[in-house]
Amino acid sequence: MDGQVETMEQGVLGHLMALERGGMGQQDQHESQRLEMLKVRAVTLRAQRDQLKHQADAVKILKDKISKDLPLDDADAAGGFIELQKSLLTAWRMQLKDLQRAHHLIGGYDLVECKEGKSLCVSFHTAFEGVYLETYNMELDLTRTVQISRHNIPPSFPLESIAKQLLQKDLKGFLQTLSQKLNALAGRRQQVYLLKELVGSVEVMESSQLCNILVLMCTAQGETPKAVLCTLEYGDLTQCLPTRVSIECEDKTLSESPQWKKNQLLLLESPAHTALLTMRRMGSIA
Amino acid sequence: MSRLNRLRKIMEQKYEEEIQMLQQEIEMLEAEQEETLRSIFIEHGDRLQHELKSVFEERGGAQKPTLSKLITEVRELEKDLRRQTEINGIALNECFVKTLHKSERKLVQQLRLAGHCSVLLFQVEFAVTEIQEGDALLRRVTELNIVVDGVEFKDFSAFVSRVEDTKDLLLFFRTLRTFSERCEERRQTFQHFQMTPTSQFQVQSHPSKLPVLQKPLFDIKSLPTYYFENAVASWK
Repeated sequence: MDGQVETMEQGVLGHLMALERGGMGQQDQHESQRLEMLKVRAVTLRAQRDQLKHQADAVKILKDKISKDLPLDDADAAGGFIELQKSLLTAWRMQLKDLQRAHHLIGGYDLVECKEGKSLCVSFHTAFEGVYLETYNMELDLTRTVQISRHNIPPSFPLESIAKQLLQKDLKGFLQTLSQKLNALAGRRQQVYLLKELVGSVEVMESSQLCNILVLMCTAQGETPKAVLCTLEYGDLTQCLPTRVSIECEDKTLSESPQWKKNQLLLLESPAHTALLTMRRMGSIA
Repeated sequence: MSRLNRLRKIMEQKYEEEIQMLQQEIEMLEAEQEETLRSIFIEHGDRLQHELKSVFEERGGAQKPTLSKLITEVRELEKDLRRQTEINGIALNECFVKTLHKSERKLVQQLRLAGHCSVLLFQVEFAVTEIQEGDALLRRVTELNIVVDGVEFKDFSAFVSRVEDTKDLLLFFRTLRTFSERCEERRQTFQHFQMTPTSQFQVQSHPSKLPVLQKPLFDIKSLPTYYFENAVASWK
C-alpha cells in the first residue's frame, strides 16, 4: 500500500516539477520548497513510527518471555538477543528516571556536581498545602572551604547567619535549615496571597518582606459593623503559623468576647486564610 | 498556473493530514511503550536486575556498540541516584508511576513510593497534576496517603494525619528527616544504657524497633524529650 502511495507521489510531484520548470516565479519556488519539506517530514515520521512499532514488538516479546519464565539468552535468536537486552536496559532506564523524578517531587535538593566536583548546585523546592511554589537555587564552591558562590535567595532572608553557623561543619544541616526556613517563608507568603484572593473583605495593612508580621483589618459583623485589627507575629521563622496573635478593637467588649477569643485561637492554630474563611462562614466577620 | 496551484494545495493538505496522523500515532506508541516498560518493572523488577548484571559485567570491547550508549546512560543515572539518596537522606526502594493523563500542557500522574529514612520505613501514595501555563509550570499534589513507622508517637501520628489532609508532601519528608534523626539518637542513647553493668532496668525491643524502657531508673519522658520537643515544634 505504501509502495503505491510512493509511486503516486513521485508521479504527481514529478508532474508538478515539470510544470514548474516551464517558467517559475519567486513565490512558486517557495511553495514547491514547502511541499518538498512536507514530504520529507512525512517520510521521517513514517520511519519513526515504524521503528517504534518494531521496538514495541521487541518489548512485547521480552515481556512474554519473562512472564513465561523463559531464558532470555537463546543462542538461536542472536540478533533478537540484542533487541531484548536493549529493551531490558530501556526498561531499567525508565525506572531510574522515575526514581529521579520521585526525588524531585518529594522536595529533594536535585544535587548536581559541576566543574568536575569543584562545585555543587542545589535547588530548594518550596510548597504549601500541596501547591508547589518558588524554587531557589544555589551554587556551592568546594575548592578550599565550602562557600556560596551564587544564589537567588531574596536578600531579606538571613542566609549569611545560617551559613556562618552551619555551612562549614554540617552541610546537610545547612541545607535542611535553609529548606525549612524557605518553605516557611513561601508558606507565609502564600497565605497572604490566598487571603487576598479568597477573603477580599479583609484588608492587609502591613506585611514585611520576610512575612514575620501580618496586620489585618477585618469588619466584625453586628448591629453596627466594627473595625477589628488583628496582628499576627511570626516569632519562629521555621513556622507557617504565628507565635502571637493580638486582637484590637475600639469596642473593648468585642475584643474581649468569647467569640473573638475563639477567633484569636483560630488565627494561632490554623493558616491565616483558613482561619478567616472560617470566621466569615461563622458570621463573625464580613 | 492555477491548475498547478490547485494540485499543489491538494498535495500539501494530504501531507499535512498524514503528518498529523503520524504524530498522534507516535505519541500513542511512545505512551504505550512507557507503560509496558513500567509494567515489566512492576512485575519482574528483580529478574530484570539479575539479567542486567551480566550486561554490565561485560567490560571493554565485549559491549555491543548499540548498547554502550544505553549502558553509559544507565550507569550515569545510577550514580546520580546515589547522590540524591545521600544528600536527601531518603532512600527509595520502590517507585511505581502511573500516567493518568498526558497532553501538551497537562500531566496527571499517580506515584507510589516506598523506602526508608534512616530507621523509619514509609510508604507514600500521591497524585500530582502539572499544568503548563505559558512560561510557568503549575504543580500541585491532589491526593496523599502515608503509612509510616513511628505513629505510636501521638504527636507524630497527629502530624501525619494533618499532612495528609493538607497534601503537604514536602513538609512530610522534611519532618521525616528530622524525626528519624531523633529516633536514631534515642535508639543510640538507649543502646548505650543497655551496656551499663548495673542493669537496674531492662531495655526491651519494641515491635517497631524503638526500644522502650521497662523499669526505668528515671522517668523516660525526662530523658530525650528535648529532642522531640524541637521536632514537634517543626511539625506545625
